[in-house]
Amino acid sequence: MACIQCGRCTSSCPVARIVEEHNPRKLMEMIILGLRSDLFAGQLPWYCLSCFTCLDRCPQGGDVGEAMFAIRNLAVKEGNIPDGILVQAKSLFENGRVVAASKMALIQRERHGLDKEPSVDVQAVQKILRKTRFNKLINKGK
Amino acid sequence: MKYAFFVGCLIPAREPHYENSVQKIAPKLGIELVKMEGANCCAPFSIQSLDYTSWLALAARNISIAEEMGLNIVTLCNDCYESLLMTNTILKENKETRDKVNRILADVCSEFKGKTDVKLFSDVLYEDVGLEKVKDAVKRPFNGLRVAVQPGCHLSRPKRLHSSQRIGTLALDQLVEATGATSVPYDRKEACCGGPLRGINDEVALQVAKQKLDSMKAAGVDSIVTVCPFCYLELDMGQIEIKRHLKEEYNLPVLNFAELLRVAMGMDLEDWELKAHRIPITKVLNIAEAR
Amino acid sequence: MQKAVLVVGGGVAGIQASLDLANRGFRVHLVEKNPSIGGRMAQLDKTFPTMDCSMCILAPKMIECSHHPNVQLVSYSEIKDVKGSVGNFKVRVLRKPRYVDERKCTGCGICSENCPAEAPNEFDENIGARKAIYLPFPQAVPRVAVIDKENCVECGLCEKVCPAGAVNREQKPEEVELDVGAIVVATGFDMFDPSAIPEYGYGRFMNVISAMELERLLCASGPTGGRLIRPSEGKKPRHIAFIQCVGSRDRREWIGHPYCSSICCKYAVKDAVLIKEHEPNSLVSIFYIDMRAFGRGFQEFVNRAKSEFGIEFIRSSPGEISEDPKTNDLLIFFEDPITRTVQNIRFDLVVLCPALVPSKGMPELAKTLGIELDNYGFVRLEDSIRKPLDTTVPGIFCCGYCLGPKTGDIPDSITQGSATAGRVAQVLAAKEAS
Repeated sequence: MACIQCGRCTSSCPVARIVEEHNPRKLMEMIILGLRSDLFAGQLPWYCLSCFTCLDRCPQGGDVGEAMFAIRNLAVKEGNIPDGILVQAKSLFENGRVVAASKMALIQRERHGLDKEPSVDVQAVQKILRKTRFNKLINKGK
Repeated sequence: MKYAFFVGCLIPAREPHYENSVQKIAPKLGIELVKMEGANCCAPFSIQSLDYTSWLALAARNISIAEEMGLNIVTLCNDCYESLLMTNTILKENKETRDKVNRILADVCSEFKGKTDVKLFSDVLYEDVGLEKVKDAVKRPFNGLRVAVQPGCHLSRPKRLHSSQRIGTLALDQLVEATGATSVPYDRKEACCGGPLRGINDEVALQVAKQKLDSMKAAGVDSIVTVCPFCYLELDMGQIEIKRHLKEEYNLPVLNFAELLRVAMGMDLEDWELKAHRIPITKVLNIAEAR
Repeated sequence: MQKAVLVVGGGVAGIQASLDLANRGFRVHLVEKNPSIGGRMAQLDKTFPTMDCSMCILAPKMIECSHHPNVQLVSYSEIKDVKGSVGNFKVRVLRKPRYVDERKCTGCGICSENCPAEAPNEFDENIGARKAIYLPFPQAVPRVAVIDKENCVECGLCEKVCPAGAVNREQKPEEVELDVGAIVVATGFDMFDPSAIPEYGYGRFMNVISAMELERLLCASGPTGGRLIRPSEGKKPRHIAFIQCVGSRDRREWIGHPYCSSICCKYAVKDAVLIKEHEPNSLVSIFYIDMRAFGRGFQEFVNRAKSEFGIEFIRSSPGEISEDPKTNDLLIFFEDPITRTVQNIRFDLVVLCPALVPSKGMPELAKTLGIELDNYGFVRLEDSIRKPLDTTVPGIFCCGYCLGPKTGDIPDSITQGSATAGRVAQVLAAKEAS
């Protein structure tokens, strides 16, 4: 852990100005102090925009930006997944895309001379996601 | 110039007009876009947040499809760009991770070989087609149009991912100015639009979008130009939502930059494409007409 | 064996080494690329922690160099070629043309007064202007004018008005060959360009300046006569912020300066105290990660800065600076260390303390001398513990900040200058005996 708690990440974060709870420096502090249960609970891991501003400005080379993803991966293992992402994850598993084309979009494509949307090899996607046990992960978040 | 065309999910699903503009301008600039059969979702940040390995494997499959095609990948969406570029970089540099991912891809598709590059459409225009050729193709310039360019986070961040030669945001500004518009500097230009939190925490997403729109308004612009379809959604649809929930109005038309270029090249947008914009864009188009 | 020494660099370390060697009977050639010796110390107003006048300490040493029978000042010159080895180096030096005859010029300054052409003043960090024919600063040594031909309009007025007839607009560069027994590198430092950290707005926002620019604004011999003003409209600033570690302690590859530059915490506190002395009603804040005030007297100085002068120390590294376009005021965004929330404070003037980097031209000089540089571009020492003043080439030594941030402050540079002189004398005595 190279974090020197300088606070540059928090003062760069667009969300930290809006949500007091979301404080990247504080999250790093919690990691250093080993406060697992607080870190992975509730909304706390899910405010991050993954905009990488903190990562780019961190004088230690960006630990904080990567830690954000690690925190979420670990929170997910404990069953903490927001509904909005769960919907995307399920769509990914079932259709191979996080957002499936709406009927309206398909009609527009056909009507206006765009190629039919290339089909996803859903079987390949499911094979991969079964191997990584992704489907099991998302079943935890109910 | 031939590229493997990675369309992503959001554009085909919600913004087919963006793709339409790209398909209209590409042949005029000598770009051939070949569809990637069977390609899956890039695996954007939401999936990266769930499971790192799943993300790498999904992204790697897409890259291997392009490798089989023997072409470099071009994407329209910043999130797809970040996902594929980061995966490409990590797997090229780290043997252990590469082997792990190839084991997952083993009986699914061909392995990741590290033989291809990932580019954003705006970079292809700037680096491969060249600014001069783009300028030559402009027949109907947007003289006097003041634009807030929204590069989007993943166009230039994380900085260490991008080669030092790549000039990212500056290239985008020059492309926009090649259409005759002026790229107006504004305080929070490099900041996030809030798009990634749509559907997860709409309240915060809108507050972040508001920070951006306030900054653009303060700089006195006529229009916003986006690259990423998430930014487009957040700043276009977002203005309607902000009006409803936060009682603030901006009336800033949002164009994706392929549309900007298409109109500047002398082509007209069709009715269905105009309707795809929540904030009407007719006044922007009129600036191109009036010379 | 030559009982002569070449010293490259006329800053305080090079000056000290030259005087010590000259006093021991060596013939010293002090080569300086700028038109005057003095280096960084000449640009400072006061030194820490004693708050002595910098030039008052340096000028006597500079004069001594110019008058010492054993010191030959070779100013406005560059090293072109070096051959030979310890005891017998042959050095080719290029003397750049001043277009003024050093032997005739009295430094009266009448030429400058009459010159119609202007250019940015390098000594003042490009704040304010100087003339195309100029004396680098009031205490310049040698006190000889120099013409900047790039900005000269060739009007010939200087030649007409010079009472000593010293202007020679046809002067040619001159090559000199020096035979020396040893070489001392004392090329000092430059400052990192803070525009590489775009979120701080240096180069975009007028009232964000770098520390050396502040020094010149505070200095009585500077562009404003020592009045601290805001670059945007010339008014007195009331709220001033210092931001530490701009480029220093930064592990990002594209910045390239992961080390601590070792003197910035000290000089920032010194400058903060100076500002408070000039303007007791001003509010001065220092944003820092750590306050590194090591050595005798420095922690006490920091304590005084807090208790006696009311300087605010904020333990938080700001993420970004915004500008209010109407007033050119700055808003510093930082995480308040007490409430742990993101705050912003309005300042009139922001001073960035940049990393200290090797002198420009160091890579070329190193190649010419055949010495190695470390991965930051500072001089690589032969053995950093047992021989901390020897470069990787026998007979070539070094002192001062060109060694890197091992140097803590001015007394350290002076100490190293003397130590290097001792080292040179020792090595050459041994060579003579053998």
